[in-house]
Amino acid sequence: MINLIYMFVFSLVYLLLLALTAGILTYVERRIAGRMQSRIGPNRVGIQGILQFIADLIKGVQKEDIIPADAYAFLFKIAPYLVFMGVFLTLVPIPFGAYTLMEDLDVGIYYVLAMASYVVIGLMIGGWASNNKWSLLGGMRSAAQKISYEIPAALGVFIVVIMSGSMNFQKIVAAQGASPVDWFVFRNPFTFIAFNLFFIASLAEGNRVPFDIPEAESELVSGYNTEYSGMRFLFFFLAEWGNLVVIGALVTCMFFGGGSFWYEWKISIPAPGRDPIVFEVLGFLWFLFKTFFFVFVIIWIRWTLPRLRIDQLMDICWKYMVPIGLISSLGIVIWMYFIPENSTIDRIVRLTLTSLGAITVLYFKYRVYKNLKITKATIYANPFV
Amino acid sequence: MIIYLKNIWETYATVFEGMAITFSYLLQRPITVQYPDRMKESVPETLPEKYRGRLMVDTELCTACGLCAKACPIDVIEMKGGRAEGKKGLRLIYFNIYHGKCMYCNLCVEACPAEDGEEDEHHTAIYFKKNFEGSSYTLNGLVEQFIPPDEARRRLKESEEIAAKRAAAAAETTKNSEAKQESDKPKDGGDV
Repeated sequence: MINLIYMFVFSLVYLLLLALTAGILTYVERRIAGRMQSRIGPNRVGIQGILQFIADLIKGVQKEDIIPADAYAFLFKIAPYLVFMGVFLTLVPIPFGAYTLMEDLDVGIYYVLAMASYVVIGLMIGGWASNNKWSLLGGMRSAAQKISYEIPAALGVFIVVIMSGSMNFQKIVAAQGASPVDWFVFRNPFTFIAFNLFFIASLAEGNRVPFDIPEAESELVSGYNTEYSGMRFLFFFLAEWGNLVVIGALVTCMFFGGGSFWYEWKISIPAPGRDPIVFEVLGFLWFLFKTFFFVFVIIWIRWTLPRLRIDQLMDICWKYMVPIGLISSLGIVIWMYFIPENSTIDRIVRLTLTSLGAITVLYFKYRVYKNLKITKATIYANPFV
Repeated sequence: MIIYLKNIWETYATVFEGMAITFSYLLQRPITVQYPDRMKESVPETLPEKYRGRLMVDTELCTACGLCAKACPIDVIEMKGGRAEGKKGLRLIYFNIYHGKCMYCNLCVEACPAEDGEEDEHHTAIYFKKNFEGSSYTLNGLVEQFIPPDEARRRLKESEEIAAKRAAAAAETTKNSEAKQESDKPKDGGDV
């Protein structure tokens, strides 16, 4: 009974936090988009417009909840919640800290992939129950895209699972370390490829630009959610932005060392003699920092790249990502057989990849500086205008 | 195979470049002007030199010649001049501008002969202000009366009185001159 109450309370807290984060992310995304387009973005509601998402929410609640006359009302009503639930449930096994997680599942990654596919059902139901052929087609498109990109995502996850020898998120994080050299992303070339596969496939699964063909807000009438209005419509968007957090958290866990933040400290094994609470909090904050960095990257990609064509989308998936994923999952097995962990070659490869990453970041800084010089603009880094 | 690898390389290289550009914009000041409530300086100061805002008339300088009203192709200006006590020439009785109609063509300003002798942007009696704010909830709100209606009524009365006086005076003179002519007329060559 007590367990049941705990479960209820914690899921409520998680739900509220996710909803709040997703809401704030809509605001953050609009601000970032504005600055990238030399605009300001919403800055009128509250201090610097921070309450904009609440205003949007109130507007959504006020709107009439329209259900088309010939729609299948029950499924039509339930579809947005299914989609949101699918996104919310993926948060369950993600370790925000050694103890800050809902359930330490042994099949954590498998469960996350399953729940990500579960979203597809919600989208299909929403599209079908609207009794609108465009909605149905939109739902089909979304479903087709999500299912196709499950394969590269699963291949990327597969490589991580082979590397760490477990599907448990805690163990995956523990298999990595605090310093970039220990992260899976720089561990060897195949895990680096796995990171790219998983990240790109996650964008496609989350219907984010450049893979937002099913929704294509500037070209189509939004796909599966055409017939929705008011709060139900907002639920789809809540799910979309909640998904950003999920993608960021997954990438952090699987490739960027999770919440480990100090040398030799692994997230699931609090070292004896250290205050666990301090480390828990620090690890949690470090995890959140990484997560929101990737959320920022996803938003940044959205406002940089144009949309792909459908044939390009298929090309990327079937001609590039799937073959590369298959080759690297073969490669990782061979690599692990011939090159044991912490051997000289392993260390050299890690260091090389990490320095390549650092060089990329430095070159990126140089390019940004060049672009600023070309436009002859003065730097104004203050996010508030 | 080379094309395949080149495609992958190009994908990453172009995405990298694009993201560098958008990030550089993230560090720049937005060009948005937060009109009207969050401006550091008043808007008319930021406008170019020859900006044409609302049409304006200097009622002191105006000689009520009516050339602007004639020059206007769409009857924006509605005006009338009349005689005044103690002033040579004409004085404005009323001068209304229909801002809703105005298309800012500058023809009235070109036609205006009354100048104050300075070489600034508004040296004529009718000129464009830099101010462009003047929205109104009604169409009548867009009609600007430069002479207030009471004053206009008073001036009209005054000019009518003067006109009547002058007409009387003129009638007097014509009568006198006619009488003079009558007396000067030769007696026989009367009806031709």
